[in-house]
Amino acid sequence: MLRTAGVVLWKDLKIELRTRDAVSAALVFAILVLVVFNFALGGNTPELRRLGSGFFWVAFAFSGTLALNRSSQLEKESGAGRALALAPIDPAGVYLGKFLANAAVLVATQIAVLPAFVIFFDVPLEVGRLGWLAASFVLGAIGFAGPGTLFSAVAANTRMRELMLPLLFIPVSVPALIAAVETTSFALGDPGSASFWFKLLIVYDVVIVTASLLVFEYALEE
Amino acid sequence: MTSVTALACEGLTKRFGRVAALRSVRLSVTTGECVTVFGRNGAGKSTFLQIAGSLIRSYEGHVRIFDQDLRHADVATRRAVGFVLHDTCLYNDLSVEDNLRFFARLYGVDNADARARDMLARVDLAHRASSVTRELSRGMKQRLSIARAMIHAPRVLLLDEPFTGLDEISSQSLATMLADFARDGGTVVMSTHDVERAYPVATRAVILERGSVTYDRPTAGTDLADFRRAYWNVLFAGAPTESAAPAGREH
Repeated sequence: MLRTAGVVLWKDLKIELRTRDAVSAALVFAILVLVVFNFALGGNTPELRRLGSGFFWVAFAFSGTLALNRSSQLEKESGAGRALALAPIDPAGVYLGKFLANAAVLVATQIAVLPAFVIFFDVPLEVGRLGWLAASFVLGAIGFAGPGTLFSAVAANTRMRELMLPLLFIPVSVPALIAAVETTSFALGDPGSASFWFKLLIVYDVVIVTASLLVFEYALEE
Repeated sequence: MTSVTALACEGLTKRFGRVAALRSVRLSVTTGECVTVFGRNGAGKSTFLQIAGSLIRSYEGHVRIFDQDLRHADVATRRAVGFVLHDTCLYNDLSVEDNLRFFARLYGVDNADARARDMLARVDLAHRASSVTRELSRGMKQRLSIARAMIHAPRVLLLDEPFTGLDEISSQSLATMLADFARDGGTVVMSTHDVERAYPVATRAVILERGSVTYDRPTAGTDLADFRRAYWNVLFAGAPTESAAPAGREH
């Protein structure tokens, strides 16, 4: 399984590094969403800073969906996914490879969006809480990519796959998104503790990735 | 070299809703054979190959690869099959060499990089190794697709319309490659409606008509003109000889 995962991960990252399709589309879209929110609420207000992490994750959810759609499109184009289905390999390895590639693309998008977010929302970045910010980004991306990779394989076999994907997987990702918003808020200076949300995010990630690994085989069947 | 049964189907029936794509097909292919399945569009050729290649898993009847039922085939048996599908099944944004490297690693081929380079040379694409696959012509992609299917040295090669998009030189080169593969003990089963190109390569010709085998003979002893006549009879009269045509189906 790990060998298959490594090969699929290598292939997806190689394609992304060559084309930069997923990251660039997600980045542009996320920045546009942040600009719209910034103008809607008026710049440099305490309200804007307080709600900033929520807007960040809303922008991420929209733009991340684009990246996941691109990932499933790779397998549909020219029937390449069928050649993958011919190989006597563990489908869980395919899931793991695609999930890791998707999570890497999503984290790269978050890092690229961060400067624009800091400027538009005037949020403080405290050195002491950067670890929390990094953890919320990585765990949030895992919580998003986990079901996203599974459902993008399901949606790929449907007639309106671009429409079906967010309808299928965003409801499942809501716990991860809420926990990520709360953890990011703490990382950006909110008083209180993020301990509960952080633990929830870890538990959610473990459960959703494990469950997706187990059922991915059925998602590949046409 | 002793011939063994590489692919055997018995009572193979496949329905898509009310439409029967295959009707109780019985076919046995031994190692060293190059069997070409002819038939019009919708005759069931691709469905037959997709079942043999494990892409379609719900069907009636039995399919065996090297005496192992395909429904319970182990990794070694599935690894014995290479499949050139109608789509090229390549990643357009990977380079030509990376596509082969990817599939070689996926199949656990030893020394995947060297094997990829070797296959590129065999399909005359070594000079385009670093090109992005998207930039290749349809014929080049088809040759790359054939290299992909053969990257793990399969014992049975299934090809769905392999001559699509190939020019005369590439077609000749493919025919030689398939003949060499069969001579070395491999088994080739391909589907096509291109009689002129495929019949000379085949050691046995099968015609599928409306999901049933209506003709199954070795090519030795039947020249191209005679086969073409039989094929046209099947297409227009439903049977290889006019006397065997069902009543009311003659044109």
